[in-house]
Amino acid sequence: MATTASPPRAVRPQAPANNSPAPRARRAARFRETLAAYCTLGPNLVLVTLFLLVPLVMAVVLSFQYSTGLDSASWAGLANYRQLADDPVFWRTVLNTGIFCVATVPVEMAIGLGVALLFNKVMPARPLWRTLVYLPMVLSGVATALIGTLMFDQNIGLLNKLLGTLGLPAAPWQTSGTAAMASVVLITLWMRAGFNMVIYLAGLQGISPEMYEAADVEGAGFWQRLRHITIPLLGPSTFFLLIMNVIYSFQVFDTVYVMTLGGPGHSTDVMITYAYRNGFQGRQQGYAAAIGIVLYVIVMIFTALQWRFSKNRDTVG
Amino acid sequence: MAVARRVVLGAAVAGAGAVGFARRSGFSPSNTGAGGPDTLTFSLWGSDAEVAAFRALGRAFERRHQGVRVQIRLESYEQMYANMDALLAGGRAPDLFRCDYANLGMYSASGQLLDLSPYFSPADRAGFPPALWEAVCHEGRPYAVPHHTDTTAVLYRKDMFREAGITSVPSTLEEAWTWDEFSEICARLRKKVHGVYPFVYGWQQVGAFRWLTWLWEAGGRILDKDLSAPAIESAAGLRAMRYTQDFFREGFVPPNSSVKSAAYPDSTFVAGTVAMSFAGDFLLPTIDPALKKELYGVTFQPRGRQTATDLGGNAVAATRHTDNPELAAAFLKFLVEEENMARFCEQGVMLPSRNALLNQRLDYAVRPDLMSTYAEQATALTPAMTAQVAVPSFGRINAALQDELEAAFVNRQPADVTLHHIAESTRKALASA
Repeated sequence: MATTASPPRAVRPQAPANNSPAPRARRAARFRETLAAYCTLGPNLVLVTLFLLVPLVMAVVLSFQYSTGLDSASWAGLANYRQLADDPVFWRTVLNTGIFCVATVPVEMAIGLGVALLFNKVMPARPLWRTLVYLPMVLSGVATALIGTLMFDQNIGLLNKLLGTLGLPAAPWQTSGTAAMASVVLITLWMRAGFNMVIYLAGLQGISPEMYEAADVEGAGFWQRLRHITIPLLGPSTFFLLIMNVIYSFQVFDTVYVMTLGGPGHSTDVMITYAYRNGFQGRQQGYAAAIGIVLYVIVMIFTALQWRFSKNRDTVG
Repeated sequence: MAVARRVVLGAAVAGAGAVGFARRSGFSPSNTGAGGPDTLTFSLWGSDAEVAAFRALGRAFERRHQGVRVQIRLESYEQMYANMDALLAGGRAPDLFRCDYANLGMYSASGQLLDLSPYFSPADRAGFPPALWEAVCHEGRPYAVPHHTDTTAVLYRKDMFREAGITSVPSTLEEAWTWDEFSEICARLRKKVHGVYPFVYGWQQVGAFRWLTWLWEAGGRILDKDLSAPAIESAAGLRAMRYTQDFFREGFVPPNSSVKSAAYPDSTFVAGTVAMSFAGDFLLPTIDPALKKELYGVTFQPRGRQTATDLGGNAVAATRHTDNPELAAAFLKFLVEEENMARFCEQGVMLPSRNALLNQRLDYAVRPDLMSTYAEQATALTPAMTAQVAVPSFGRINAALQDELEAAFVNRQPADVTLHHIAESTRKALASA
């Protein structure tokens, strides 16, 4: 991550009073610059418009319709949103999504920071350790979740066999809501810690060693260096990770779908699994789109608040 | 920058509008999923044995029709219908696809399938059991061919039964255990065989509809006789719900084998966690290599006021937009020819769907000694049962069954409340169809 302050914006030059050759040359230069910028941005803008914005607008339209996805849709007005408001399962999924987010985001960031601090030091086989921590992130979410189902199976899973060997009672991973949510959270932490580690490692390597040398000279201990140098200077990394982790946690699907299918009951149902079930199994695509739009709005509000109130987004680092 | 943002957002709205207009105006592409005038594209999922059997049939069809190619596209079962919905909506569907009976109604009712009426004469139709032919029809017109069925019977561990002192099991459908007898067997297994649950049932995930077997055994129905309203809120419904809830209360089934679990009957049975498994015949190729043949046998599902079973198995349909309707229909007829169906069922360990094959002894690749029980169990299925799961909105009803059965089994939601919720969801699903 960048560790320098953002440069101040260039001051716009005063408009010229006459059409002398020099301003014309400047205008031509600016036009060329603008053209170059649009040529560079163009492909991305086309892709974003085609694959992000157009589907988004279509999803908004779909959320106001009744549609199975196969026959022609009919106008529903606000009916899908009214149904959402009256649907206790939907509110349960909102709560579960929030719980999942709170249980995963701070912990995976703390683990990522801790592991990054550890692996930032000289140690034997350091690349191997870094790779091992990052490996679950490279695997597909479904594959990782399948490993999770084998580990957390209540009857034949590895974890309960281990607990049994230690003389401890088996944990109700599939029959208790709390234990089921814990199993999904644990697998997610395993998957995501590596990503957090890599971003923090990059941030750590951008911090000037002179800062720590100066702190050593002043007699600062490990915790003081961590609190007053490392954490503040990792501000942009933390901001980036916070946004990315929150968005990921709000969009969690594969882990929950494979490991628990939202059960037991609706204990681990999150907004996306509920939208998927409604959209593709129940074939209520308008209702599923309405759930998606509500999720979109929640994530946008959260990101906007973070953007507005984060003090260290790009000022220090 | 503000101008650029406005331009992009404007383009997004215009783009969405253009796509919406194009769809509404019928400017969808033709069936570009087809591989050409002499190629049939066929999407399917299946076990290794089933896929090999389909490939062999494809090659045999190519030999019979010189110059024709059958291109098989493999899908995962979990993604099959979501993908097919998207392909049909986008005009890129294959010429043919494999489809279970419960999902077929929705596709035929929404006009996505080729009407096979011109290609199947009354004599052709008479070759299939009425209950199965009914399952591929919508408003009297056939939209697919019944390719095979499968059904559920009870696999039991002989060693565990011996340990519990159970020396015999029912050998005919008439002798099947009554519900009370079945409960006694379970109680005895629970008491005598340590660390093992009496049984596991195959209602996990999209298999939630298999719970209807208990409802039918109790003499109940999920839909009324006109198939236009829910009929589950009845004394029979209450009996079935309470009886099945007791499986969890009494510890007859593993607590994590409820509807949203991934504890399927084959893996749990093979792991030795249960003494009995309500398993489909199509699971035998998975179970067989993992468990010694002499360790397990098969018997019939219990009977309540009547015998019943679930409608398993699959049909094969041609899509409406196929460029080769004649060729697609010819392939469907080829698939259900007696010899071809027999070969497919033998390899995939499925039950045939032609009358002529029902009483024939097929040379099954795995545990042929168990298949006669499955075949007899399948006779418990009636046209009335078939019709209830073949309605267009059954996918949505099945999704509601998943949620409500899970609540009844795991959260102990009262039986009457569960039935009421299922009835309400069914009413909404029927109204939306």
